Amino acid sequence: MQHILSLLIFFPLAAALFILIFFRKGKSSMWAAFIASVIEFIISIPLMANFDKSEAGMQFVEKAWWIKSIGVQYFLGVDGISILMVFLTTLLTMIAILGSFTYIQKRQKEFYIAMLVLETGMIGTFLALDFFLFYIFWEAMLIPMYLIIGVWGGKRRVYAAVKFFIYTLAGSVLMMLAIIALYYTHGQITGNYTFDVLKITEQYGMYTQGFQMVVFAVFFLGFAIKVPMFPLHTWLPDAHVEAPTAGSVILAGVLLKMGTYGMLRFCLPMTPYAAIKLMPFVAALSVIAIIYGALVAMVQKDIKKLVAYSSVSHMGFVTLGIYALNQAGIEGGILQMFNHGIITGALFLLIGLIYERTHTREIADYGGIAASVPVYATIFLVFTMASIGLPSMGAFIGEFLVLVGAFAAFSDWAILAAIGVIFSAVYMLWMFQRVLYQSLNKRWENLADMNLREVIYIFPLLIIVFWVGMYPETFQSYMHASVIKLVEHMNTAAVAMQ
Amino acid sequence: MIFAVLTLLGPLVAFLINGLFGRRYIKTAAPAVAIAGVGVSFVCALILFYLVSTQGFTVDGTLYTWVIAGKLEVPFGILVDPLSSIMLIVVTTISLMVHIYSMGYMHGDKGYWRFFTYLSVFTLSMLVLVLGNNFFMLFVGWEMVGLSSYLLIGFWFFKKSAADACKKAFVMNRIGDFGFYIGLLLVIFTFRSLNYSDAFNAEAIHHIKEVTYTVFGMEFSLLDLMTFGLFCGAMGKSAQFPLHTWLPDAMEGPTPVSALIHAATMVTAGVYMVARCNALFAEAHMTSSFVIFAGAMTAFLGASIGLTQYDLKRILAYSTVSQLGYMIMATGVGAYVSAIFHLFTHAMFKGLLFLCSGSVMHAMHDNLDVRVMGGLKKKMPVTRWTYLIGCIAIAGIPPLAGFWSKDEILAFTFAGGHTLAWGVGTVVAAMTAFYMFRSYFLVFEGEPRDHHLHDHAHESPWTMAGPLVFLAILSVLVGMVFGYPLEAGYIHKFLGPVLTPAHAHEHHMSHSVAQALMILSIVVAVAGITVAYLFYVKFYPVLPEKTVKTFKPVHKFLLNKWYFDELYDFLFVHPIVMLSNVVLWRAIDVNVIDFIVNAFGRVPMWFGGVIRYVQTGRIQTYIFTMVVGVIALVALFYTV
Repeated sequence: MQHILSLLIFFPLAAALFILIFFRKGKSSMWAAFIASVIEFIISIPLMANFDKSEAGMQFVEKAWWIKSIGVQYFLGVDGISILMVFLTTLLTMIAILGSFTYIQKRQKEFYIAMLVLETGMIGTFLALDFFLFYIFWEAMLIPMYLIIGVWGGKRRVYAAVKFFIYTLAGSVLMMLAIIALYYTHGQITGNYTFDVLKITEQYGMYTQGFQMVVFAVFFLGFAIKVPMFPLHTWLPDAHVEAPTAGSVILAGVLLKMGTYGMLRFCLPMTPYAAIKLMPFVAALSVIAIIYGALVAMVQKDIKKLVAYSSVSHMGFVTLGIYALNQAGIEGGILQMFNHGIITGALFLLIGLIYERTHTREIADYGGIAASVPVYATIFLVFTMASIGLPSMGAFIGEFLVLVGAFAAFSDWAILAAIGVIFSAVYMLWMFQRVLYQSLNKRWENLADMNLREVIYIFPLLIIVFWVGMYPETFQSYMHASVIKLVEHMNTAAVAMQ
Repeated sequence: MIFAVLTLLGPLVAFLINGLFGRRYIKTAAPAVAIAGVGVSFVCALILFYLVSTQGFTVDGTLYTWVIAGKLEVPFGILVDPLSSIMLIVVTTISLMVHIYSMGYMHGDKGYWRFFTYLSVFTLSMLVLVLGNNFFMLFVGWEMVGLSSYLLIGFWFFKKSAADACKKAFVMNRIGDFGFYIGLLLVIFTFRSLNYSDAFNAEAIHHIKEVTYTVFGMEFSLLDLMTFGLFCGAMGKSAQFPLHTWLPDAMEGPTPVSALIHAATMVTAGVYMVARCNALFAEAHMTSSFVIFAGAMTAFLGASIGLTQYDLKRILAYSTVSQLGYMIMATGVGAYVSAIFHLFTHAMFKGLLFLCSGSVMHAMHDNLDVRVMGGLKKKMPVTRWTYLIGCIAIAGIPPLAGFWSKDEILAFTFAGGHTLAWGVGTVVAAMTAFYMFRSYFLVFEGEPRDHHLHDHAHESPWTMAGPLVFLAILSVLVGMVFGYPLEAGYIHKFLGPVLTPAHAHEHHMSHSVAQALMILSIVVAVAGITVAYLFYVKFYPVLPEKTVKTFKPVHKFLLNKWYFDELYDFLFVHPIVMLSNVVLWRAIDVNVIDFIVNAFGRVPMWFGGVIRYVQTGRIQTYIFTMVVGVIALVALFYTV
């Protein structure tokens, strides 16, 4: 238990090295990677089980000096905000790898190595509590993702990969500026130069208002690219369309959450003054994202692009909830991050597996395939409805919490955001109709339905969607303590402001 | 409590069994499972009704805490009281009949098991809606019935019209649900709870009566705003003007579905909701006025379109729209008991009429055009008689069911001083009698107009005829049993305690006025029937043709359903799609934002392209540049 976080971070990397050295064939490395990801998932279970839900602070902390001269530590910890993200990462990586078995045909070994390295980067990012370490993981995650899009992607993969890289690199550079500014300011105030996230957070009261505004703005910009928030979202549709299925799943399922996670971990607690001041501004941007994303999704001709734009819309709900700065809103935001990972991940998997059979993602090329693939149609319907936010499924609870929170904080924006529930139904059902309903396109008369492997990897997601919908407390209970602490932190800051 | 939970469990288990094993293993045995499920619910509903009516038994309990939103805790809670118990009776009775009927009707369909799976989902959702003890459960059921409706309208998904219709139904409902959502949020804001028991608290309501709420800088009465939001949901679900256009299209679904969902149960959810929230609506005067307007408008709209349609199911659909308008109007004037009473009787006779139309459709090889029918009374005696009973019931001829409830609504509207709404209601009653008997005469009386179809027509099997007879009996009886004497029948004793708001204004009419109104509504109904007889039996087809010719523009306007679909396409659908496609996506996303992003890429590339010429690798160029540079430097150095 003592080093479980380190184990979680470095096990995939070790497995990747192992595969690199000892495996030669694509097929065997594929299985090895899958087994590694299953083991990784199994490791995350005791983490969930032994997590103390009543403890608001960091747990399973690991702390050691790394570069003492400049105050860099090897500092890991997990709390109620990050634990679900870790679980989501291990789950989705496992599923994404299983979902790539037939999709990835060239350079299989390299692909699975990239996936495992990516997993190390993602988990490290969620667990690191030292800015230096955090930044390394953040960047480390970028490279395998770049390769996954650029090597195993579709026709315009190079453009998409470069666009993705430049956009996110711009984000990271901004983030680095903010980190350095915090490092020096904190050092000057306390005389203790450290990259320790918790220590830097503690001193939030000492940072001047102007400084907070600047740091917040820079951080926010960096994270907003990742989320992505309007108008910094245009890398997402391209990246999604070109990425292979596993890439899309991880991208939508985990990478987008990095942005909102960063906001929760850094933007809010470190610069509370700015966060409270700019709350309405972020709410406005979130609402724009919700409606804009939905409207643009509606007119897409490519299924993947449609789901990509729907992500912009759904992530708008997440940011709206987070910046409501109350318990319902933030918990809703986190729950929605989790839900979006599950639901959109599942949708990308479903699109990917039908693409393997038809080699087209154009909505117009389909039509009526529900007649030839009934199981697929049923499962697709479930996730479509989940994405629309139908009760008894996860996203509904998330949206509800977000709207309750947002309505308390800024009711007008919440009302506008609720319009999103109309448009989400429009674009998802319109797509669903044109792909699965109506008269059967003769080309797909003998389309093969989902096979056992495909059902197996969708199944856990199906269970979780209903689980969150019917008993969200299982997932919410992890976050209560930490979120209450964060809200209290923000309230203290708000009181101090006056 | 145990019975209430069992009511939910029946369809849930049936759904799970059929959903998981239906396609591979159960196949044609699916109805047995589904009927067993709904049968459990039906029995439980009867038991609950018995307990409630004889012992004043009520349940308001929590199964578990569903959602925790900060300080707000939303339970999965169950409420059994007179209102929900009577709704349970309606839902399970019709559902059971439709299940049995569907065994015959859907026989041989490829998706036989799938149909029964969906029916179980629907029954379950509707029961959740009715049994919940808080707004959250109501909303969950509300959305879930929307889903089932989507699935069942689109049951024959390979037809484009069905696929369009199910999407339209869902989206139109979602527009209403948007309002409902806001209403829900306002309930949370006001009462810090979603439980009915907290929200319908006379004291709490009294405190917020004068409170205002600011939305987008405009001030509204909080209660009005809240109830208006909730009512938007009802407008969607109960197909009220201006969100009514989805219901007629929903007739693309199999006919049993139209009977169950789009006539008897789901579409009445809005009425149920308003009645359930009577404590709030009664104090929201602005909203109540709007409710009356929407109801009266819808009643008239539906009836006027119903006059001209030729598709048997569409006639019934517009009739449903119109009758729902009555119910909503009744809730607006505060006659909640009468609204629920009409909901109850309407469920019986409209369910019956739809099932009859299914039977006719079966005989006519899925042909629904009333112009090719005619003279079916000898071929299909059971369907004919039951349809006739349904028509008499809906037309409001005593002593059949429709008379009692409709007359009460009109009487209360009149007594409340809403003379205009009463006038509209009375006119609509005449129109209803006319178009219902028009359909009856065209289908069953007269000479067969398509002999080929007529020759092949036959009575339906007992699985279909049985439910018809059962519902026909109910259509005759329920009005008298529950409604006699008028305005003071058993239904008032039963529902009065839950449906009379604390500060309800009692309207007392003199006996003679009440009697005059009653006689008037009978006269009006008889007149409607007589006119229909003259038009479609005595002087058919001369008189109808002549009338159409004389009122050509009006007829065209009504035949095209007041052009609502075209108007919405023009006002909303096309502009929004255009905006999204041309402006938001192609202009802003692709041409503005990406242009800037790509420019960030292009500028360094262009710069690098220019710089490239410096390093050509050719010695001559280097030497030349160097010499020029030296000369320039020397010159500069010496001139200064």
